[in-house]
Amino acid sequence: MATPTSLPATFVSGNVLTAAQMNDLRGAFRVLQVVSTTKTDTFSATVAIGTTTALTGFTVTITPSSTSSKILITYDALLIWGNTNYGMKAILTRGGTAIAGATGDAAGNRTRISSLGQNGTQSFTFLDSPSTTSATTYGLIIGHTNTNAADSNVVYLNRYGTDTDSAQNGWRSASTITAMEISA
Amino acid sequence: MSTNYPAVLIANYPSAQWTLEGDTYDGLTWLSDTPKPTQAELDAAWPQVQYANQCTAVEAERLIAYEQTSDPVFFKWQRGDATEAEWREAVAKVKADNPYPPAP
Repeated sequence: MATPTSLPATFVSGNVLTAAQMNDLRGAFRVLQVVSTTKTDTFSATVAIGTTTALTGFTVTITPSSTSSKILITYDALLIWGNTNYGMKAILTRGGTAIAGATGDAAGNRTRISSLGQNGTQSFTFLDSPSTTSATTYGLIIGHTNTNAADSNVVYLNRYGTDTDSAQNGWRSASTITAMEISA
Repeated sequence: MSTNYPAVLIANYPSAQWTLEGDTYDGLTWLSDTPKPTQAELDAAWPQVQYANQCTAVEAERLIAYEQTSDPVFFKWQRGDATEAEWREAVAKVKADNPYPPAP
């Protein structure tokens, strides 16, 4: 990787860059654009056992400038299941479809997911190769690991299930998904 | 206090499928084949749901307090190291310290 620290501190009229310096400049601009969505309101949904739902309002859209660009996706999402002791699953999507490379390997009937957590913030990073210059939307679909049909199976983003209206027990959080275009 | 729509939906429409973006009725998407409840219906149900949830929380607090305070007195009474009156007093204190909210 080129390092821009090897470039001159300033350029003056008449400077002619060497190939190495031009490569340094190229390397310095590998992050071509950054787009981010921070969702500060809440999301709640029923999710039947063994199913998932799209996390609406928590997407980011980026239009790559080149088909050779990579897209670095990160998300930090505070996901809560309405009852305790079960995990919240999250799967990174492109265009609403799970990105296979951003999930674990197939293994029998096991669900392939990007991240899992129990009532807390989940973080995940993935370098995608969408090979397109069209607007591309990334997001999450979420589910839970509960198998008890008697439970409510409601999942939440940025709030707790009981959502007590008090400074001591109630809270609201923010969740962010970010896309960065990285030049090849 | 504003209505906690998920809480009302869980309590009164346990089989329904829905999503709610934000906290207001406008963000409610009804996925079930059953009729979508109106905002007025959900708002009207909220006080009773809230009361029931608060009572459940009080019962949970009482269970913890019983285990920590009155249950030991009960076993002391069984061994002859305390009186029934002392045990009943301990139980009464747990209830007094964790009162139910006023009904709506």
